[in-house]
Amino acid sequence: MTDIATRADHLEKLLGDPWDADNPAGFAAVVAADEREETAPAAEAALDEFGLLAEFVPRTLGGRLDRVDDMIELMRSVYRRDPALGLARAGQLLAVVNVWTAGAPEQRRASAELLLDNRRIACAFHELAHGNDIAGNEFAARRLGSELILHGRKESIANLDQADALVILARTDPADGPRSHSQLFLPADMLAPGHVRRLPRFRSVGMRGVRLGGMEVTGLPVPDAVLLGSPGTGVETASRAFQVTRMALPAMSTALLDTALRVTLHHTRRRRLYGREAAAIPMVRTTLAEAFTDLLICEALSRAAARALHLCPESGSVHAPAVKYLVAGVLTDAVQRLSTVMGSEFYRRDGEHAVFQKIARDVRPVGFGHIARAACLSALLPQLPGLLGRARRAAAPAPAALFTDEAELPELDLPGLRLVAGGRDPLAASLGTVLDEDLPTAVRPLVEDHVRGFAALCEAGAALRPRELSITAEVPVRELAARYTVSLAAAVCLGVQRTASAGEFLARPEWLLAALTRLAGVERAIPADLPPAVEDALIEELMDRDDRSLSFGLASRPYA
Amino acid sequence: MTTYGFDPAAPSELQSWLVERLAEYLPDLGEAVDPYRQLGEYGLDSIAVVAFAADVEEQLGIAVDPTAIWDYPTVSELAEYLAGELAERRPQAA
Amino acid sequence: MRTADLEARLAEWSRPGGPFDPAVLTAHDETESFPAEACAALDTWGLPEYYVPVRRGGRQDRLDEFLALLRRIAARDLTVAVAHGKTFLGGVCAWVAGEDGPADLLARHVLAGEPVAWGLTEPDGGSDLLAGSLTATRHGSGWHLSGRKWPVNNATRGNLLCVLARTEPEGGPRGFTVFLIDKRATATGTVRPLPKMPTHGIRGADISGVEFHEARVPAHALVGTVGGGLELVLKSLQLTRIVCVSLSLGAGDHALGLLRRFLSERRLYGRDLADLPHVRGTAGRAAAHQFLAEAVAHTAARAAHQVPEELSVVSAVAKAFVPTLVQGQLRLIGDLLGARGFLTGVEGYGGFAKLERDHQVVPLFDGSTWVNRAGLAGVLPLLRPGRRATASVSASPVHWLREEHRPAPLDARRLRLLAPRDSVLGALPTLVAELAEQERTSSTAAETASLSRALLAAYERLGADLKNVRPTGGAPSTATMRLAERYEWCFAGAAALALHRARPRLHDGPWGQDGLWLRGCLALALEGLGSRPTGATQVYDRLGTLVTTAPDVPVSVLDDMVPDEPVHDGSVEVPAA
Repeated sequence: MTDIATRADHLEKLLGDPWDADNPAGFAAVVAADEREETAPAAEAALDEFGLLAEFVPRTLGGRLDRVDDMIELMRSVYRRDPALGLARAGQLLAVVNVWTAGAPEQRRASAELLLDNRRIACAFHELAHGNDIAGNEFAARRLGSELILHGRKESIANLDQADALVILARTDPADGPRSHSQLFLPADMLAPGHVRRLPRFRSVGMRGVRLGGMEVTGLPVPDAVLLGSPGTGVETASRAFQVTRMALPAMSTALLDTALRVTLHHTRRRRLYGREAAAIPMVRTTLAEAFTDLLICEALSRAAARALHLCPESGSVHAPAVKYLVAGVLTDAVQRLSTVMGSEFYRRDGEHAVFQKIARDVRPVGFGHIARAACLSALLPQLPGLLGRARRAAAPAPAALFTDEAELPELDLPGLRLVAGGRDPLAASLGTVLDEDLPTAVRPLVEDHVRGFAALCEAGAALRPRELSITAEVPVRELAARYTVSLAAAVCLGVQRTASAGEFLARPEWLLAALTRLAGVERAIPADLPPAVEDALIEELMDRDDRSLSFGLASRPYA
Repeated sequence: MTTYGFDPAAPSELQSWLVERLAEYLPDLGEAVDPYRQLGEYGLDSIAVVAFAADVEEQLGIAVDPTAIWDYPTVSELAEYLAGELAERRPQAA
Repeated sequence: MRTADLEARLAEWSRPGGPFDPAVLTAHDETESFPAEACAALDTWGLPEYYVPVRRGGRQDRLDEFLALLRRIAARDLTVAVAHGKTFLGGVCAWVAGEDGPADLLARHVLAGEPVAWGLTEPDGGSDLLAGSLTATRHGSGWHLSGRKWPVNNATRGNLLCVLARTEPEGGPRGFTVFLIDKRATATGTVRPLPKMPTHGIRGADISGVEFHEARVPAHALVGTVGGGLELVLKSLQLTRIVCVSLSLGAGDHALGLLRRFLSERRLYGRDLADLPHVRGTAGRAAAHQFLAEAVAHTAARAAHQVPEELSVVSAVAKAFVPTLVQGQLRLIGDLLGARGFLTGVEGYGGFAKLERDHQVVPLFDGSTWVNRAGLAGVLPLLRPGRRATASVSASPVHWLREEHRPAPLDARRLRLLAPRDSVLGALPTLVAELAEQERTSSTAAETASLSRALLAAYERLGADLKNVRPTGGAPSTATMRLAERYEWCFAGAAALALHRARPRLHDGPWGQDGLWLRGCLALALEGLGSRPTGATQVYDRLGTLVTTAPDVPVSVLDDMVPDEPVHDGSVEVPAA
């Protein structure tokens, strides 16, 4: 298949109109499947027909992955119908990014073949007792001659029971340290039943269509050829590879806010309260406009971060946790606020808006799955002084190619991703120059606020000492990292508006003003309100897109 | 002390004041409120009634329960009722 | 002592195989079946007596006590609290109407263990009571009812149902009337159940409906006066909205218990989780949420007895504020629990996901957060500081929040639709001035005084902003809704200050020493008002440390408050309207 727009249209067509009650891949079917803790079979079949997993396989290996931003946008067509359907597929991405980063040619080929054949590769990293602390993992691979003997438990692993291969993180050195773990690429048929006990499925309150399995392995011998990368590089490989997924998964999840917003609009435009359309109630309008803005912010930040993986891969270690932290927080808040607009309709598991309660449950793991928001701040902190110092010393405009999806991108170089950015972040650096640009008049004071805020952050960052930045960092210090993510998002919104083609909605000042206002209020309980004219413009655009069945995010592309 | 821009003891003045006030609660209404028409017909909902009672109470300086507006559902009836209530308290409001 | 007794029984019943065994309750949730064993246990214990006023032969004489009871149940299982507690809602119209209705008849039924439902909502009607289309027409000496009520808690399982019906074809505020229906006394085929609504949480509860076809009900089914239904319901809601918030307190208790367990078990990066400052800070913040919620709920419950004429404001604040606050608290705790708050089968933690789903119904009950906030927004101009004379000393919350104070009998005749004043916020300047007198005694006293001054300043700013607000009809503007939200935060802070002032016991003990809990409440309120109080981090950190190091101290400032036995002397009653 050809370009991304054609592929996205094709996928939309295959999955059909989600509102159509007779569509076996539509909302009604998705909700019914969720009740059975499954995904809709017709939707799975459509994804197989489309060959969705090929989107995770690099072109050089016969797949269709060449741009991370395109992959994300395409996956939104899946997530918007059923986030569980999306996550169950994106779960393979978690596994294979490690293979693309560190795998031997035959491991890469084998992985590609499996995915191109719609088969599954599970990422078996998680152990409940250790959560995000993967370096604490206990599952062990002990060397015995030319074999490795596996021992331990893996828990809450997506697709484990259906996997044809696994990527496993195992401890290969009993001593703690950065080289204590290795990754393994294991065909599932090596899991000899005598040594492997399957754990009962882990049930969950949301994302119920994702089959979470587990296994307890006792003394399983495997050939040492299963090692993925050199021994001891397991955590390091993951630190590179997961830069992609830590931003891509939350970025795909923005589609869930698109659906929450669409369902809320659908409800409020039809419902009459006290003799008027509910969508005309001021608080309803405000909440809709804010949620729309939030969606644009999330997609802007994730677009720039995804494109930066290609354009300035040295910043991935900063952008990935920043995207995860901010996007997950904003999405969760926005869905919760929309549930207030839905009122008691939110609480129903039947009727035409039943998908809303599913989204309210499905949004939960965006905050802690893969990496928790708290762990993202911990990851950002040690880099903060370097980033802030450099941003202050070497302010420079950010390249336009970061913001506009029309610009072509260099090939993704996963092994080239760095573990630390060395202070290099073109987005942060641009904040020192944004006031030199031609800004819409109405926006300038807000930009000045953000620039001042960032300057204050740089000031505070300069005073930080390394020992303050550890995992035991004090709360106010951690808040500096949170503020950094807000500054990045502000820089991105400015970039997206500046580089949008004239006449486009994104080129207009209203959404930018709204975005900067929202970002200024991220940490505040009662946000600043949008000027009425801005709110009107956002609502008008939102209604128009709703009528024309366009996506509410940055792309504003046709939805089936 | 509450001061009025009209004589609240005169039901007719009170009535035109009420009509004026009500206009602010019914921004979509193109015409003046008919003092003899039921307020409910103008779409004054229950929240608005409470707010309107609060407003009248604030302006007149006497306690006005929203139920008074339910029990005297036209401007004319309400004005008469309020004038009566005010007359009782006149000495204080001078 | 009854609260303590119930708590002891609940602990017993929660053992494996008991009616409150979490496994049993989880199974009910899964299969969407009614938690009948748990409800039966509560019947045996005598909970229905608390649905009936003392003068009608029951034990209901104090709302604060009832809140404490329902909270204990909700802390075990919110679905059960909802499934059983609806009888309080079902009965309240009859008690408020007093002699104008079948109160004694209803009391006998309830004391016999008969549940009562309250039917207000109609399909597509939502919270707009005036849109109700279920109609009652006179027929001989009685009435004919036609129409539907849906969704209604316990509509199918119960025999008794209190409904709001249209009695004037054109409706209007005097066009509705309340009736108490005994389904058993209606002709076959005239009353039919409507299907259970599959819900997101409280899945075991009987959320269904009822349909009437020319159902004949006798004259004595009338509750209150013909045409008095809307007023009766609006006044009853002032009481039920306060009761509802106890469900939130219970959910908070439940979640905090799970959090404590998690913090004691979990190690990360080679450390105890509680060694991480941000974990302590979050835990402390969650505790502060609980204290502030308690302060508002308890103040509201006492206010029902002492300043019933203000209850339209107090109940709206409590209902808009507390469930939202607890929702935020659950979010904090859920963030810490991570996967354990999401996976439903992990030993010991499966309850979190359920309680969070269950709790999401509380902001919707008896008028949603926005409905209550809009009601408050509509009358804000009347409530601005200094507009009204401050209340008398006996109306001050400091007086009626004293531990030993025996609340005045509930007097439904004093309920009003429009509050003349707000005694809780009215007391704020005095409370702040009193703290200022203490400020030289210690550095923490100075900190407390400074936080309270900041609250007063925020309240004065709100007052200034309210000067430009006129009462308006229709849905309030966003700006006015935000002002109402600020009002709620100010009220909450004032309630905490009043509670602290009224109870010397709260100046001591693990939470009370140095006024720690109060500073937690004030810091939270100030954050809610948009400021970043200095010292907040340290306050939350200390609270969080206590949460983890003193696991046996309940996260509550009301915990010692075990109300005494109700006195059957006839002096405590709900008088006739």
